[in-house]
Amino acid sequence: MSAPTTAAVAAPRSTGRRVNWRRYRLLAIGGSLAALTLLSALFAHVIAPYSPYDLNVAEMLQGPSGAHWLGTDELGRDVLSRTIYAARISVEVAVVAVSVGLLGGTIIGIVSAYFGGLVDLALMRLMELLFSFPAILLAIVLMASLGTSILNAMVAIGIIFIPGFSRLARASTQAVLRQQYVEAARTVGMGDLRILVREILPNVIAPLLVEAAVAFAYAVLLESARSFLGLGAQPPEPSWGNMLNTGRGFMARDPWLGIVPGMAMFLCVLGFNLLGDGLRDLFDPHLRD
Amino acid sequence: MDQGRPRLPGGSQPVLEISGLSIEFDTPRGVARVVDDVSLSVRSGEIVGVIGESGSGKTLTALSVLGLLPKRARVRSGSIRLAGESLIGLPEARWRAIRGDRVAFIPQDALRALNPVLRVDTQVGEPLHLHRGTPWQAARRRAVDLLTAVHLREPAAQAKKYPHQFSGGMQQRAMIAMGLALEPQLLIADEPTTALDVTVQAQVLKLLREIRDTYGTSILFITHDLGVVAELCDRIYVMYAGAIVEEGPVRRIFARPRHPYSEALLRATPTARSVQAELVSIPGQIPLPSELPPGCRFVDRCSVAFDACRRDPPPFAIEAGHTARCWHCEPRP
Repeated sequence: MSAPTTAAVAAPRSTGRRVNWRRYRLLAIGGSLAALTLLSALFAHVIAPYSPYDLNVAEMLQGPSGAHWLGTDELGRDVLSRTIYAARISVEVAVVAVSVGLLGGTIIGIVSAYFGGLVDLALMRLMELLFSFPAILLAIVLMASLGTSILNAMVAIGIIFIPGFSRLARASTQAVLRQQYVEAARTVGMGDLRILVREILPNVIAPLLVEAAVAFAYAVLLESARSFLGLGAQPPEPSWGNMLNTGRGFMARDPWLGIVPGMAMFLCVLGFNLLGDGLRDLFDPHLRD
Repeated sequence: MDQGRPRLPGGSQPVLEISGLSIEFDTPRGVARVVDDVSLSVRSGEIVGVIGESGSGKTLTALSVLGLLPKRARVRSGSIRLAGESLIGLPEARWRAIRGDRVAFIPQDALRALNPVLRVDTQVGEPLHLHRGTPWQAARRRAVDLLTAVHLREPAAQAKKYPHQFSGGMQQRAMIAMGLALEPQLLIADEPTTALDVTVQAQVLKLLREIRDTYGTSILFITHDLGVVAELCDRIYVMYAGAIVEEGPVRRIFARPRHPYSEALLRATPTARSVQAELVSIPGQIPLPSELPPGCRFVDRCSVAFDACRRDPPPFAIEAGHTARCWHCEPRP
């Protein structure tokens, strides 16, 4: 008797208090998969049943079993443990790369749109120059000139992301600049920097966060591609890319060696892409009820 | 010290004094003079209206007081004085210190003038933080007081909401509260009631009058709505194509407009009393600044134009404080 009354009082504008799961479906699935990746990376030492480095030649190339759920590799290491530990390098690279791209791209995009004119012209041409290189090639060129350390890899991938973020930030800023509240901020006596930080940034950040989720997935793929080519994490350090490369040689007899890291990569990338879509729906005012 | 300029008796010292202001735009077809030799003054505690159609230069005149003219526009000549201090040519940092502190601006569309991602109390308190360095918490508390002063219902609860959760009238009240934050000497309101319902309009006008009575704030009120002017203003300036064509006490001009444009404007305003078969309009349209007719700028649309109108009329005094720029008002010798 009292339940429907309180519901009506609590939410007078919507028809009920029920959460619309269909709306949050993508966010929930994507968020869970993304969280799984992040937790694996953060707590690999707790979750993983074995050390990813311990060799055990007696148990090499075993299929999935009670002791080794996903089998062992050609040196007898536990595949599940290595896959979990491998999330570390992917997440590490992606977090730094996306941060570099997001930060650099946002600053360049907003400054470009806000000041316009020559500043805009120069910055956007520079971005187009970066854009015109194929991503992998650019990453390899940057690493060839900077060295192949993991930090360089992260920065290289981050630089690849800058043009995309900067264009998005620039377009959003141009839309916001036409809004009266920016003009109104001036009438209250705000200066350029304060307008950029308080009026423009909060109003352009939503699409950039969506892009960040998608870029995260792409960074994981790029890192795996590099490791697969032998340019990234060096054995015995596990990474999905070099595990996949090793697994390639055993595809016919021991397929789990390739399938497991492949699946991990797939789920991670899928998760972050869905998270991006979910965030987009969440931020889109037209889809708000 | 101030010997050059005779001081007016207290109370009638002009808060704002614009004299001979001309503003020009560079256009591909040459220089367009959009504000031409405009002089106006707002005394302490006075509500002054500037009426005109779109394109008459009234908003540009207002923006020039804030130093916020569009990039392509520049002040060609004239002076703007705020409580005696000359504003033209001030460095940007000095302008910023004046905006929001000594001169507040209330825009037409309050919703679009409020930042959608910040709560109302943060925005209303922002001038305090910006100009006085008030800590945010105190600024937000003060915002609630200000919202109370503009008669927002349940101010404490409403202050925590976002602008889109407000109705149009509430948004405009919030903007006015923000304008009042630092008790400016001058409030410039650019058609603040145009986007509102008539009943809400009346409430906002009443609020503006109350603010003048309580704080002694001078108000420069820009509008195209004669009804609003009649209700609110003490004196008005009628602008046409960048120039002031008539100025005077609001009652005098409403009772007896002397410029044919003011007269036409009054006739074109539908009233409840007069039974009009159809809406009256002024034939023709406001000329582009680059295509002004020689002589009187209203000549092409004027029903009583005669030979003299080929020359530009100076302002003729009709009575104390009432002038009109029309050759018909020339004193007969």
